Amino acid sequence: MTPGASGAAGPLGEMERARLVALALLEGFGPVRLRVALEAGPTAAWAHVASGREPDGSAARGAAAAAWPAALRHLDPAGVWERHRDAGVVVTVLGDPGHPVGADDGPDAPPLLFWRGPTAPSPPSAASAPLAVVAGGLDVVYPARNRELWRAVERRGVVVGECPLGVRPERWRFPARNRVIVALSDLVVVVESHDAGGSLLTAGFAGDRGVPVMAVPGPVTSAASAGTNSLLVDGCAPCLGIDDVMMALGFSGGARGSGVDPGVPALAPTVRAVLDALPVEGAGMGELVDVLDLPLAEVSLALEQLQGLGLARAEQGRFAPALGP
Amino acid sequence: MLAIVRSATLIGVGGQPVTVEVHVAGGLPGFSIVGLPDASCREARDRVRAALLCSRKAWPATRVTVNLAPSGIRKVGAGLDLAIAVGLLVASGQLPSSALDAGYLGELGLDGTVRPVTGALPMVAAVDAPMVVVARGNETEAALVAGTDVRSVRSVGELVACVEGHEPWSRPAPVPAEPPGRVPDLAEVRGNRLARFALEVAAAGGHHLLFVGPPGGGKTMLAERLPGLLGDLPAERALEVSTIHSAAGQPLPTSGLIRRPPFRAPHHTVSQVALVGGGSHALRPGEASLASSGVLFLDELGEFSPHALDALRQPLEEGMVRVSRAHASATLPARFQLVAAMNPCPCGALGTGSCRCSEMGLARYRRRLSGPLLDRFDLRVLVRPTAAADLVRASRAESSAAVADRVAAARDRARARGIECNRELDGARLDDVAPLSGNAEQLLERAVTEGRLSGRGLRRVRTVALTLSDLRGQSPPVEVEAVAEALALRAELRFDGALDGAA
Repeated sequence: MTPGASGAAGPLGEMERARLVALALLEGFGPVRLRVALEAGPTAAWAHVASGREPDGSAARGAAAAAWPAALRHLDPAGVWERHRDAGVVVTVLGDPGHPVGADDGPDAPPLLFWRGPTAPSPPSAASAPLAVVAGGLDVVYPARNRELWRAVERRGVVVGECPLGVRPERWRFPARNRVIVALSDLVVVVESHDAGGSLLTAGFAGDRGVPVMAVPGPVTSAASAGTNSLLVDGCAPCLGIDDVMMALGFSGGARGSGVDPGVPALAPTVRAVLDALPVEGAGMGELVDVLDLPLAEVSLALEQLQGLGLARAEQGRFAPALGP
Repeated sequence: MLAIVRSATLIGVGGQPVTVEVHVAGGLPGFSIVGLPDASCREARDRVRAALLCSRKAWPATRVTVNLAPSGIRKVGAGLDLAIAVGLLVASGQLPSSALDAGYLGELGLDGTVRPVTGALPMVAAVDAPMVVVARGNETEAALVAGTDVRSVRSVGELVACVEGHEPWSRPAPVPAEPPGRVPDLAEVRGNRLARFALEVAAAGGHHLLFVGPPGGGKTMLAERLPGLLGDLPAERALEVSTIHSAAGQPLPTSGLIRRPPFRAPHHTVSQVALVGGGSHALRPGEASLASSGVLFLDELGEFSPHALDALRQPLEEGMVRVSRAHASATLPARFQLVAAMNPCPCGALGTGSCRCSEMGLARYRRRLSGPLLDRFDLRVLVRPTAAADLVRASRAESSAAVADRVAAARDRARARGIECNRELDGARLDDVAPLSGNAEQLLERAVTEGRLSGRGLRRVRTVALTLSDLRGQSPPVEVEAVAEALALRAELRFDGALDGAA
């Protein structure tokens, strides 16, 4: 563990990061206090908090501070850091090149982010890799019924959150998480929302940062669409399908795999024929065999190859061209 | 005097030998039955009494005690009536004791008629006697039991006459097998070539098969044509199937033996007990057992109660259902091939671009079907309504007979491995009986590495690939084409929200 320079100037050393993560475990230590700790220098902040003061040395505000000295005695920053490292969690701190927010993003911008997955610590650039922003520690799967989905995202892309491992997603962390979603997005599409849903908050954050927002219209009789419909009334662009999203992101010509992509290796004629036969809405294996009039084994081999190259994807038994670029 | 008569009762699909002890002695007139008789068994007293009196025999005016041994087993039904009557006649000196050389099975009518019982086949097999006397209506199925001499009677009077030698015993005459009925032909299915091929593979390997598609797409039509591709049952399986059907009270063919693989298609409102067996009384076999060695077809899989579907796990895993009640337990064979048809979503149009379902409705529909159940289907094919051109043009589809020949040849190859079909192949034997060619290995490796196939899915694909090799008449190693086809027949359907890993 190399001791590094303290203070906001210059990159933080490992020990300093460890202290910051440990501080994040304290009761009442949200993004604002953490930011203060970061700017005061984590080592100095640690000493202040250990004697029951705010991380910048000023007098404690609020009841939570009373518990800090005792809590700190039981915290071992090195141990906490090691646990995160062993769990494959990458930590970025405000000021790091990979951190999606900067010092001018407001006092409550997340100073610490925890990432896990093959593309951590950055958002995946490949369109087919997912990213999930979660409200608690990366090991606290919530809700439990989404466990499979969580694991699948972790395997293919990245799961990111503001909390160290083990922190439960308390209620206030959910709206807080939404600002991280916006920080990582070029476009926000709200699919469904009650009229007081958290998604409306996300849309608000997006507006503040100048990130465009789209909303999917829903039946006026459905409470689940009351929020999204009101966004449309407020002037958000409607989103009716993937083509709308692609257009908003600046990709023209829809999602069809048209023309030759210079990045794609030359394909055998059969494989090219199969790729060209894939409709946007997807086609089942049986349909493809009938349309192409090729032997089943050849169509299957071609699809395996196309999936491996990332040129085709399978969804509920239907094959479609992968979304570009 | 004491008379000991041999008979049997039914537990699950098996007969249990019962020894009926009838004791007639001095004392105040009375009649008691002991040995855990159930309600209808206990009513034997009134039936036997009236039957004997109508047959011009005397009802002893002394104490009669009947014991049904062994005393720990619950005796079910009225099939012990005849044995009790014979015991009583012998014990009261109205019938020579030579009558006790045979076993007896039958219900009695008040007028002395001997009525057939449910489950005669397994019960006769269980009676511990070289000769068994049954009702006329049970003689054909009883005759199927090897090593037992079967006689039949219509009434108590006839039985007395035969025992005393005044009349010859009636023996069952062999009944010729009935000609096979007309089954739906595969040539009647237009279009959907892949689905038809999947039926062929399913028939050849016994693999579980799932059709997914909109209503009217032809899923039911396809599934109904599977029996037409299957050959007759081998002898031991035919006997087992006949035994199960007999125990369930299902009608048997006139020859007594069921030769065709059963095809059971319970409605989706079926209860768990009706599906897998049980019941509080006689541990009756359910549809899963009735489909043993045949096909269990679940149409509209999404409409079945999750409770009922959940009960299928044990038979799918172990090929049997274990039923336990307070008084008895039984193992019911249930080695069936599962075929199912389902809509992709409640409105049926998912994937065609015109699906009207809400996210919540879709999620609710998907939650009804557990991942482990869907994972059981090694063949999963999307079925779509036939194009108009195909409907109008003359069909070029092969007939069931032509496909059945190929299926039979493939099954012969499976039997050479010591199993009835490749579905029953133990995963541990895969490397021995189905080694992969180099290209085939590479293809599978890529599928696993790229997340399209799990470890379990891998074993399943190899088994299906083996069936495809068998259909081609190819000997090992299993080639890449067979593996590619096996992958093609296994559409990735995930209904539990997972993105990958559970292929």
